[in-house]
Amino acid sequence: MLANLRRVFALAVLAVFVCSFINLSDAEPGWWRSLVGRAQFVPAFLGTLSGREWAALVLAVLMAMTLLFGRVYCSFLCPLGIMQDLAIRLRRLWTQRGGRKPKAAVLHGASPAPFVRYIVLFLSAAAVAGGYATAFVWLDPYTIAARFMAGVANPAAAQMYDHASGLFAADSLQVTPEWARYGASLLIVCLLVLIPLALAWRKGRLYCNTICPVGAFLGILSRHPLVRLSIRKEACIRCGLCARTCKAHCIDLRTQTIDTSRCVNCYDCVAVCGREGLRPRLLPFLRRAPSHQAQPRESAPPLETRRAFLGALACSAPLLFTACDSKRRRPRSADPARLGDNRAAAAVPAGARSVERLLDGCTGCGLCISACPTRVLQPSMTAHGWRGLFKPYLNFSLGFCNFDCTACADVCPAGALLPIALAEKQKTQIALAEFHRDRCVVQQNRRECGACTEHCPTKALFTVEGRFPVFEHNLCTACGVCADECPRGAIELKLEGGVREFAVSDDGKCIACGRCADVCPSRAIRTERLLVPSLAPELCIGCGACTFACPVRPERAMTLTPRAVHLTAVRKIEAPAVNPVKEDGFPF
Amino acid sequence: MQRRDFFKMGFAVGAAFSLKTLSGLFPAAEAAGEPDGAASAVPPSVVAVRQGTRTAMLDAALEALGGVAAFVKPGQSVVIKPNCAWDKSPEFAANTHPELVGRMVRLCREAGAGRVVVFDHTCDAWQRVYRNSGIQEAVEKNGGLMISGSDETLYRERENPHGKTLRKAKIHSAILDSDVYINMPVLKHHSGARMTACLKNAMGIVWDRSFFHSSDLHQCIADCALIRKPDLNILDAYSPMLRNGPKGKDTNDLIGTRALLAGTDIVAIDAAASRLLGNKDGEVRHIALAAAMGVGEDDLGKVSIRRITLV
Repeated sequence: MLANLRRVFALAVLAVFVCSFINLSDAEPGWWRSLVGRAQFVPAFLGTLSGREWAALVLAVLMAMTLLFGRVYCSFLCPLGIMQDLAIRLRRLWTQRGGRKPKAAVLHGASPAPFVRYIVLFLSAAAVAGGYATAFVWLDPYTIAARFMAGVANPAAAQMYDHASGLFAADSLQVTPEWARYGASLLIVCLLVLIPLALAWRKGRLYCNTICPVGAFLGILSRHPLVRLSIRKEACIRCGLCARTCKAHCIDLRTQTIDTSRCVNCYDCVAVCGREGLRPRLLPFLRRAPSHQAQPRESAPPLETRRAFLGALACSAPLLFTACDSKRRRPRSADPARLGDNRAAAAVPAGARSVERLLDGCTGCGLCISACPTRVLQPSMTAHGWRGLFKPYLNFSLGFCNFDCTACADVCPAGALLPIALAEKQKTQIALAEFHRDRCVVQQNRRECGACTEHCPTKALFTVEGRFPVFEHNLCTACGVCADECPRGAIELKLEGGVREFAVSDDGKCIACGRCADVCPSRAIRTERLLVPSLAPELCIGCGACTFACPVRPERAMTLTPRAVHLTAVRKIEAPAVNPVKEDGFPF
Repeated sequence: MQRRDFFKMGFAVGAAFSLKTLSGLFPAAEAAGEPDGAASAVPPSVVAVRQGTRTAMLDAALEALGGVAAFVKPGQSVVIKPNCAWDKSPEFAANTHPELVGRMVRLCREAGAGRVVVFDHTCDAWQRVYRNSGIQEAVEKNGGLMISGSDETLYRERENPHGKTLRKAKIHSAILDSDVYINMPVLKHHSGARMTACLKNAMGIVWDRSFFHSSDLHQCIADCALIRKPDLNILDAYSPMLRNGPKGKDTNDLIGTRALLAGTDIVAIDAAASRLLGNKDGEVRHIALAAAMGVGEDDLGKVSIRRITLV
């Protein structure tokens, strides 16, 4: 009963989890998309660190649940745990179907490896204390599973969708699978998932009880749960079925005890025992207390665990202290904008508020990346440095941030991206555009383009009519008046054999003001009127639409400087346009 | 190609040629007989309608052009190319109004069209654009099929021997494969091309638009019209965007012109539409370039225009 309940619940969680990474229609993310992510331990922990109330609540509930029932998180909620359970299930089917010999019944499981897990736990704690909170997310089971979904399940679903729709309708809405998103690092992403799964196939929940820092932490909390799984000594015949079934290898039939710090509450043992020999009981140790016999204390494991805990603490303590003392930790109040340098290596979405905040709070699960409709949000390989590996950044050469969208902030489970109102997002300056006049098509080819201004949603970029000089060389007397007048020094007189010849202009420097033509005494300069881009930086929100649209290569004429700390842009409001034609009749 | 020639010939001789078009002929004759001055049985190359609802103006314009049946024969496949490029809702008039696109799809279906597909090579995320512009819903409700324009595999390379700058381009297969091509833009200011209407909208049939921008936008727009000239153009000028185009900022950018232009001469429609935005003749270079290349007539004095004012 309990095991079946767990299976149904876990499968439902897994289904919602997988679906939340599949985004085929670029729809606004529904409330359910962040549901599984928000119920996870590490995102909730990081959210609590960054001061999110709901995250603290989730964390409190998860910890209370562990204190009450043991590590239910590991079997009911943890996606990697559920995936491992599937692998274990497959292994069992494989053994049964193949008529292979099942493992011999055992009386006791594997001895615990407390040293490894506590060292991992303390290193993680040290990382958190030292402001490197993101170092330990590499071992976070949610993030490992989530990144796999973002990198593999999402494009695979798109591929399957295209294939299926191709079978039923000739020209249907085709979607492009984003295999390239994680690129070659997809190998790392897959490996991180495959290792725990392979371990599960061979050894059950080994990852959870040796490497996983969440498992280690919850293991400490679940040493004496209020309702604990225990063996009814009067019913147990020490047949060893339960110990063989146990995924965590935590049942010791010699002492008829269950190591609850390793038990993941899958309840398979309850289901497998034919004699109802195992069941969850309220406060079994209290009940046992009166009949406490002077049994020989052969139950070494708890003692060993304690020793390991203290040993690991001793080993890690220096690191913990140095981490806490580290000067590296930048106070959050430091405002790079005020210090004069507000440049970052890569831009982050508006909900982040600053690059530092994002890097501190993000686990790199890729949920926001899957939700992004324009594909501008990409996992960082080198953009954020090693601290930001797989964390999101805006890759402006692949796309631009949609003006009317807050999808990334809506789905973030860790609070690294805070929910942001659309109006607020539409004036948050995440980067600042820069116009390189010398590279612009209009300047270079003397042809109108306007691609950048077309896309600008705030009209920080617009076109103005410029007057570009065209020199009539046969009329030029080389008097030099135009060169003196030019505000940019774009005109110089060509010297041929020491004799002044005629004026030429440097197209890169010319700002199309047309003053040279106005002052030329011999009318040797006429002007060509062309629309040329102009930038009002205070209106720019750094969405990157201009950079994306700019056709100039290899270096674009519009570039963006990412903001380390986001600023607020000015919003332009104009009076209603006046119709140039009459109410009725036709102007032609 | 052959079919287009066939149409041209059909109009020139005086459409009473094919038995299949009979149903479409009579309304044309009736429209010609109305006391508006257009005495000839040949439909005008441009019909301009003002002061009605969008769909009423569309119906009036099509009636003056000889009905949809003059363009769409039973069993033919139709592609409608609206301006559906921006993630903006209909009230911002950044895209062709969904009411018009939906109505056109239905009229084509009623005329017996086999398949009516609608697409655009969008500028914003295509699925959001299709949804938020209201066009996908309007098309599907009226029996049309909305297809993607945002995947390179949907485009095929096509030579453009008469083009000056755009000598070849990858064109959406729906444009290449459909019997009838209906161009259905919205009239807007354009920060790069100065104005966007029929000629500029046809740029959306091409995969690589950055080539246009980097190598003389106006010439490429004019060249693009040679690859496949639309069989029918319908321009939504109900509330044109006078500034900040083509995406627009808010509804303050719009003016209440309440007009619709339709016809077979893509250049003449654009030349007329240019005046609706207050442009001087010749100010929009791609119109003059297209006229010079023989795509159509930009001298409005030489164009047969039927003017209809609805009450």
